[in-house]
Amino acid sequence: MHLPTLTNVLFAWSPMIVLAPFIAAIVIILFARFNRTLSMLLSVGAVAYCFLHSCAILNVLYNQPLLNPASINWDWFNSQSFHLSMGVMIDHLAAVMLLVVTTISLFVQIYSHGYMREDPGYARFFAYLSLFTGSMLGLVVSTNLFESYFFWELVGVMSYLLIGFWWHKRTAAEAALKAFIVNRIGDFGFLIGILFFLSSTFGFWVNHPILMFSDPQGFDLVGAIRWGYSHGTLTELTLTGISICMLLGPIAKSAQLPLHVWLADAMEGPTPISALIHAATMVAAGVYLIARAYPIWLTPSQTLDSAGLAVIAWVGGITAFVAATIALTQFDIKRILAWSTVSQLGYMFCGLGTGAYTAGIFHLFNHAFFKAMLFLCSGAIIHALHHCYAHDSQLQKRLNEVSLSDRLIPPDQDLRNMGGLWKYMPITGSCFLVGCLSISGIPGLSGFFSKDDIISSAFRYTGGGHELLSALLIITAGLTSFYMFRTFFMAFFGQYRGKEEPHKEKISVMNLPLIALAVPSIISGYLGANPQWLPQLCGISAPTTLPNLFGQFLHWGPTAQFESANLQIMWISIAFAAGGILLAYMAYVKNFAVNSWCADKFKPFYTLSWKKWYFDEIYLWICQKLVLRLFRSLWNLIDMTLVDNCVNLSCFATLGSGELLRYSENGRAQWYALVIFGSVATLALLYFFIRP
Amino acid sequence: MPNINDYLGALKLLQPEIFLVAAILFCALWDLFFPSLKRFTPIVCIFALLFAGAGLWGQFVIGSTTLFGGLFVVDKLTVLFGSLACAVGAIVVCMSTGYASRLGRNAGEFYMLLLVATLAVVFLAGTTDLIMLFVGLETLSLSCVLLSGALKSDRKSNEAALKYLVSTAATTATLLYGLSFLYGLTSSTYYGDIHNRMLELAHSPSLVVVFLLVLVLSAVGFKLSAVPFHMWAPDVFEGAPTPVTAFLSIGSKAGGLVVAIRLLSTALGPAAGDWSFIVGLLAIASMIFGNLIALAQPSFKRMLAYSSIAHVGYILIGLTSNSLNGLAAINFYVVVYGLMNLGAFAGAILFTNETGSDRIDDYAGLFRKRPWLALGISICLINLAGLPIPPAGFFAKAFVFWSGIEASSVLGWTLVAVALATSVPAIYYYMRVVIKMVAREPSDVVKQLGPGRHHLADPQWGPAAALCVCVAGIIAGSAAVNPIMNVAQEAASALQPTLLSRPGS
Amino acid sequence: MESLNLLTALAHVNVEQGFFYVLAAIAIPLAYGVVFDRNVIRSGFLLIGVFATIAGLFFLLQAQFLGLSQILIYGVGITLVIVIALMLTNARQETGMNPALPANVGLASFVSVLVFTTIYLSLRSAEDWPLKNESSLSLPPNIEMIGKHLMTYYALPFEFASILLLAALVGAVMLSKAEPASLANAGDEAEQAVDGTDRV
Repeated sequence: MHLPTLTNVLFAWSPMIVLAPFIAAIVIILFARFNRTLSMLLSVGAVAYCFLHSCAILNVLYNQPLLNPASINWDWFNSQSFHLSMGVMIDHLAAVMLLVVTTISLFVQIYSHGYMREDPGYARFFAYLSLFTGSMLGLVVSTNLFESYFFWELVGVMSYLLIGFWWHKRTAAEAALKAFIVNRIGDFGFLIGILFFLSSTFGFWVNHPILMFSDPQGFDLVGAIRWGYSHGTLTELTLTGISICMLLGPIAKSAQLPLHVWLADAMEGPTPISALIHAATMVAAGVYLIARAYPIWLTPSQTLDSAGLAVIAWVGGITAFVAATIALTQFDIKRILAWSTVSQLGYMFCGLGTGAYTAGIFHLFNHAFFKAMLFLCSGAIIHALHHCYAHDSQLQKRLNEVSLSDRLIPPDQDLRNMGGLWKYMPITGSCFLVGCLSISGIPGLSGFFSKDDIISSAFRYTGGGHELLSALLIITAGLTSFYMFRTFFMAFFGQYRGKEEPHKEKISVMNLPLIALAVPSIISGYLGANPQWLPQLCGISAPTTLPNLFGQFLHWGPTAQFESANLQIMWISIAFAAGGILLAYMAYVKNFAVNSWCADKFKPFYTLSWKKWYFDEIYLWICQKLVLRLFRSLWNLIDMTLVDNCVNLSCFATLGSGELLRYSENGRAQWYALVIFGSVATLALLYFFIRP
Repeated sequence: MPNINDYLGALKLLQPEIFLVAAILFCALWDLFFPSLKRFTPIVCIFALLFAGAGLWGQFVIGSTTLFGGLFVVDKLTVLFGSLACAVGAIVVCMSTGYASRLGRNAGEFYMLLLVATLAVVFLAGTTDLIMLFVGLETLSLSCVLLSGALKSDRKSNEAALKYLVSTAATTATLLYGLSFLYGLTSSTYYGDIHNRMLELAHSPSLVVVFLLVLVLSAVGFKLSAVPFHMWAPDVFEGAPTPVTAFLSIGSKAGGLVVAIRLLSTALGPAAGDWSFIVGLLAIASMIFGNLIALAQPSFKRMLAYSSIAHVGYILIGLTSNSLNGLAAINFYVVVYGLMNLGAFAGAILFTNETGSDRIDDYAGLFRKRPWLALGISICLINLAGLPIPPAGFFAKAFVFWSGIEASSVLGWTLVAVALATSVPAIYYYMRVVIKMVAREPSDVVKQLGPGRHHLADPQWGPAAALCVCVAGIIAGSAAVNPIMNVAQEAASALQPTLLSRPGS
Repeated sequence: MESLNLLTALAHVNVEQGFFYVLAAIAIPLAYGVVFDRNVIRSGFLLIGVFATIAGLFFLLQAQFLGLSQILIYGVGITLVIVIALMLTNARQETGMNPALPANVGLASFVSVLVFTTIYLSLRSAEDWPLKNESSLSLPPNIEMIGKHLMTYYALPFEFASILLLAALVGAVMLSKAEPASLANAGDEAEQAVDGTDRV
């Protein structure tokens, strides 16, 4: 007789983490959508439960680390040759991600209660939020690639639904469509990659659930790659091909170059959505998936010098830089944050690509908190300014009708209409400042620790071109601090430039989540710091590889890996960040004409940044001039030859089956009987004489 | 010679069926005595069907038991098809409540006949004797004829009943002729004895064996509406009340199918080489004709009617392989297809009740006005097309095709090739409706729709509940592919022991 | 000599076969009459004749019970009901209509020939009819056998037939029941929208 221990209960009930939000969503949709408060309580209650359960799991894992992931599997479909299961797998990586998703989701949902209070779609919004949270948690705890793909599509669907939440706005509908199309390209590549991988390792999975991430007996991705390699069904070249195909999925989801164009426009959705989905969780799912299926991107012998990782590193590095340059010149506060998200996701990609597994995930972890908080701050600003423009019906009408390509910034999101907001909303302002400092990599705040780990790792990168890569990242760090503080100064300093006075903020349901998220934004970085690191930074002791709490918890592979920081790089990046802040201060507080000078002297660069490197234009041209034209001519061809012939054929078949006889023609019933008798006799004779 | 204890044991196993008979009598008499409480008839029917279905399902755990000295067998196949029939019956009754106003004073009789038809399918599921087979098929046909003509004031409904009657009479003739040949050749009506005798006859099949196979297949093919015995289907589907159409398209087909499975693979099993070729011919013809003609249909119900002919073609692929996997695939297909098809018909009833139109063009833009209805119909149609969202329909098709490939015969390969080729127009004509509903501008009919109604007293609640149940079933079925497939496989493997010689005598 | 041959041939034909040919010779023209007679009522009466000759065939096969039931149920009961129903529904007006459509006659005769060929060929192809070998005299009396089987082995279909008959009965009532005026007028508009208020 022994009672189940708390640990066992926690793991046994872990599927509830995924199911609870789904149940809440279904209850809301079916029964509670007419009661706003009940809908909200259900949704928040479900995610609060998930949050507590995740915390408990994290605590258990911290106290007694798991050698093998705890997993629960149900057969979804089982035959001799093909065994597909669905389930829940909890390991250290999943536990970290669960904490991130549930924390952000909880605070965003609380915040949404204030933000969406007057929206007619309040209950629907909470139902969607719950559905999204459930799908995202399902993605996090997936046991195999197929299950991941399933939830991957589901979070995608929820993302389109939420981007287009205000579907009556033309821009929102267009943005949802854009996100849909771009993600379709990525998901298509992802699916092809999975199927390609499955087909080349098919013999390995006989009698075992396919595509498992981890399995105590070794029937998992690593085992499959080894098997394929030793049986010759998988070569280094095919594995690289597979990994690059599969990478398209994360590239699209995490808005990396060249499929990054949808994320900034996804800001047409409500701001809590931007915070939850398009900053902290779903877009990070790409990074998470790479970490989850990391063996696929390694070489067949599981070393780090693979082409797949190199692609990840360079995509990440270039994206980080390009997105940062674009953010420099934007005026829409949400879009600036979106571009910075793209840029920071580039850092994470680069971290994973250069082998800094822990650092990549650590940055994901830190970034989620401060970026969500920054978005919620911007939401608070928009909320405070909204009333100034709400009664201008002509403007609202115009806002509903313009297209995305018009790039009309809603005035309550336009930095040029802000200024001096500090005195109206000091809490929001201070939280925003914390976020800016953190993202800029100022020592002491969370962003600094993970970002510098990544930059150092890029500098140590052995795949070639490490100077360029780390230089890109360091410059990006400078650009980041510049555009973030540009935003901060333009919004909170100087004179208020808007039409009417904004509301003064008071402690409310919208401020609390900000404050709650500001705490981890400051301190979460210390999870990845070792006290011995300080003397190294000051040059007192020699730099060595130092263990840290986060890395220990998250160790991957046979032994824990720790990425050490590189002192020179660290100082340089701090200098760049400080320089960026200083420049922003000069330009936007002291009003030195740096800005206009730059705009004049470097007109082409300024335009390039403002036009977002012309990606939209190029893609549009490719779409309209090449793809669409090709598609149209192909369609015409199909339409003319195939469909027409089919219809003709079906007319013929119709004729043959007597369909042409009018419905109520006399004698039709006799005709039926005649056909029955006739075909019986014909079939018998026919078969008897042609019988093999 | 069986004694009284055998009968008592048999009656114990036949409790669900006896319960249904009681429900039939109740429906026949309730109106007479309590005309003011008429509206409770469908509710009682639904509960009776669910109760009987649950009772049948409870018998799944027992192995196969033969009753009446081999006339009727209670095994997993009986249980699967019996409870499927009860579930279909319950959903159809549910749909019919939205139709009650058109049935006029015949509502009670209508529900009673629906129960009779369901009961006939339940009995057909377990029959292992030609006489029982004949009586069961006749009961099913007669009740379906009467159901088709239930809308007495509607000319199309009357015509549907008449056409169904004439066609069914013709196939009754062919079936009886085939059965008498079979009896003449084997001097038994029991499947087991027929099987033993067929072992000798199938060595060098003469024309009479081929002829009797074709005669029996004509009756089965008629119930399944396989080409060339399909001609009644579109007219009857269009003319009959839509719930009846739904029943015909799945309930009575399940009856025909289980008869085919049991008769062909046990009694006529030794002649499998012959009948599988003939069934293959029917399958090819059904897939090609069904899909091609469905392509050109402007009416939603008619499109579903022709596509159901095509689906029969797919189902027959599993039958031709005559293997455990093939039969399991059929069982799976029928369960999933039943849900999808019933859902589509429930959607059609909801749409037609509100708009009075059945044209596919009129469905355009429905998503704007009735998003949930459009979503429900879309899920059913996407699954009917075999696309994997959610993947129940996809799996059903994949299993059947796989069984065809596994047969690794020229026939199997040909069938799968034809099936794949004809799936393309199928995807086109199903997705055309979905795309119309979601992406197009609302049609005139849809534009006139008012705001949605929500209160439960609405006559739409019945079909709406049916649609919800079907969509939920599809989603649950997608999640529980493995358990359903296990059930399907156990049901298919139940066929083996019935090959033994006649028990008890 | 020829007449002698014929006589010997006739002598070889036993009495049973002789009766069979006689009955067949009566039944076939009567059946054609049923199909081709333009007067439906006359067709009905010819049908009684067909059933009677079929009953004769049953007697020849020593199936007395079947023969009697054939006469009682089909020959008298059902056909009379049909004929009376036809008379009551004033079928005389439709006597001018030929039941077989002219356009389909060619096709129908082709199919008939085809079906006949198939039946003939398949009957000829059967090498062995097991029932033929069983001596009819060795079987127990007909009625006793039938009764016993109906109560034992065939009890289920026998009982189930009562459901069939009940359904038929109810169906007949349903089809013949008069409609309330409001619904009868609805006519072809039955497919139109149903308002929430007019449900029963």
